Amino acid sequence: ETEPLLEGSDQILAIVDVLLAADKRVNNHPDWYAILQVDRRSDDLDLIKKQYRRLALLLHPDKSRFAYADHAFKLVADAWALFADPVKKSVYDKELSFFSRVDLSVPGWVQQEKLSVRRPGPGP
Amino acid sequence: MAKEDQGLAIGIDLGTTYSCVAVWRQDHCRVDIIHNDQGHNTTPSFVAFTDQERMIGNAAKNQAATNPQNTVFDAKRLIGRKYSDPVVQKDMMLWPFKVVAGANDKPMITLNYKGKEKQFCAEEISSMVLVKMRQIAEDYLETKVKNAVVTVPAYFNDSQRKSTIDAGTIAGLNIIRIINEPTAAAIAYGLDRRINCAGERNIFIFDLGGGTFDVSILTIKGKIFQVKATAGNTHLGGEDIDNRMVNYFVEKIKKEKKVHISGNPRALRRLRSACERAKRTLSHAVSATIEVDGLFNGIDFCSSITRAKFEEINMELFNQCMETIERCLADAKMEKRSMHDVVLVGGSSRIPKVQELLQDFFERKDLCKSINPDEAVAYGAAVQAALLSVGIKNVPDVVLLDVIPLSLGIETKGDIMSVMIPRNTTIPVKRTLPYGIAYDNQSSVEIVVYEGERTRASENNLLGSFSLSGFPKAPRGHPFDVCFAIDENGILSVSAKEKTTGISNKIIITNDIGRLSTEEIYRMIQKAEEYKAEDKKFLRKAETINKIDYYAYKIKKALENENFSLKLWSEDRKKISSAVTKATELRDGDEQEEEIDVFEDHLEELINLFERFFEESD
Repeated sequence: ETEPLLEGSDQILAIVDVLLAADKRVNNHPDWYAILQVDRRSDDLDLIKKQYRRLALLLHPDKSRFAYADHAFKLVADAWALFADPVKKSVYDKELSFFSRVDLSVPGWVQQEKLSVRRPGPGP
Repeated sequence: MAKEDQGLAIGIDLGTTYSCVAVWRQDHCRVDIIHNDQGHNTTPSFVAFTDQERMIGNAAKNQAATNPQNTVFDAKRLIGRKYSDPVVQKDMMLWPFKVVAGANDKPMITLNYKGKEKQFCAEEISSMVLVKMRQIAEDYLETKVKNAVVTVPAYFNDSQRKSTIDAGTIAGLNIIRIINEPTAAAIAYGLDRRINCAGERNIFIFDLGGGTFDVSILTIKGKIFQVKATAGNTHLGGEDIDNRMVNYFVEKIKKEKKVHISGNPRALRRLRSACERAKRTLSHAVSATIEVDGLFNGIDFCSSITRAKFEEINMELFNQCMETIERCLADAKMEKRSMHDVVLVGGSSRIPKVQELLQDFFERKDLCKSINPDEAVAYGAAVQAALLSVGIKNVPDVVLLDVIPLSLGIETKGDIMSVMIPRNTTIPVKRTLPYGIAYDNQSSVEIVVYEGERTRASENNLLGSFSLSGFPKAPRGHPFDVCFAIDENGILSVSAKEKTTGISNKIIITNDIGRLSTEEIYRMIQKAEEYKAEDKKFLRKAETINKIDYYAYKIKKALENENFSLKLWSEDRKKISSAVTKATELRDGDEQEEEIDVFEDHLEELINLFERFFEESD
């Protein structure tokens, strides 16, 4: 029999890690790499996939009874959806590097003003 | 969160033509497919009404030929659809039962029950099948069952899924999850093959059932079952194959015997049953005979069909299946060569031509037939039901990552569909996107939600609409957020928010598109209870009549014994024989005219007489 307090500690830690990572923004983009806990601009798709699976197993609402698990799961699934698509990944990588080179933080409202109907591009 | 569901949960495969129920046995560490009262593992999804009673399952199907107008099947082809749907209009021409348009363009099945005309919606018919499946499970498990996982075709849309949940509610079941049929079959496959499944395996599920067709591509790695893509047709299956055979023979009869039988539901029903049998025969034989005595106007119909002819008349359907497969592979961005296994599910996957085409397509790959195509879906549903229940032991530790089958989005300026969540996105999912208002000085926006793949919004399936209003007049492009959230059942809720004022509005797509309201569901539950009570009453009456017959027989037999007969006073003898005569009258008379009390009173009298005069003499 496991200690009740220890049960699910992995699950709680996973939720906290993902939510904290999602809170930070890299030049107005969510840091999807940090959400999956891999190095920035990693091209090791197997590693990314492995991390995605590990987190999905810990966070899926069927598996975890803790609050915000579903929220964290959705973030992890979104991150994987982006990295699994080579086109989307390269667009995202470019945008990250463009902003980090110029080091320009664009406030949200500047971007939104440009929209007529909807904003293109990736994002949750 | 789903974990709070207590007690035993069953898995139900609610099929178009047949249904199946299964349960996880924690003590045996396996799934049991539950057989019905006839000893079969699958039960026909048929409901029939007569002047006296209601029948569900085998009983209903067996009497279909004598009572075609009041025998309902194919409810799954109606569920969540509108009356004006071309698919419904086309199906109606082949159904012997009557379907009319109800409120909100909802199709209503019109039937005759106990001499009165009654209307039922597809949810009610499906709920009756669910009640039957639950009954089968309760008889087997010898305990009450409240919770269930019900499967739906992967390609079912939002309204079809919601209507299936409604059917469960009317049946008094707590549906803890709706899962996709091919995904459920994948669980059955995955658990079966677990031992030698070391690395990552890509599997292709081909599910051709009685009424629907689905294909899914999954990747199984350890405990994770990830659906990559799914495609299908909610109106392609064994029934369509039967239809084509029936049409073929109707034409043949027209040519050979110069008679039209298309207007005769009884003849059509009998021909259809014969065709279904012939179709099954053709899966192992190269030709099959069709024999229907007294089919129409005293004509005995006898003919045969070869496998080649059968394949010719159905080739169009088989080709449709192949096109769907290609679409699914393209969506998954996977090569057909990378599939490790091709798994066959559904009764119609037994057709040799289908298997041949599949094998050719996958470059002579062997097809996986190790799982039972009729039971795999219920098997997977039972595992998922156990996973979601608290306190069930020894459940295999797996997690299903399923996807939505159709893209979801909203209408933007110029009837353009703006996709919020593309198809084959893993669920649960939540997406928020900023939109801008289309015209200057707007103070409200109408958000219209669609589902489908067409670029023109109006050509997709309309799910519902709502408006966001009350914010100050704003210039064109003024932003507001739209948020789509899909839960584990694949069911959508949409909300919108205007940021500066914080005004928001929300819908869980509901009634305007023909979904049942809470009151309607409540009313239907009441109705279902009434039918159940009537079924019970009918059974009680039948049992009483049987008992009356039994005692009358015993008494008559005893009176024949002269020794005993002489001992009785003549008055008593008169009384006894008049009671026996009355019993015979009651038994042979028009039983439905009398109320049950009359029967029960007389039974009591008979038992009294029997006990008084006969038992002591033994």
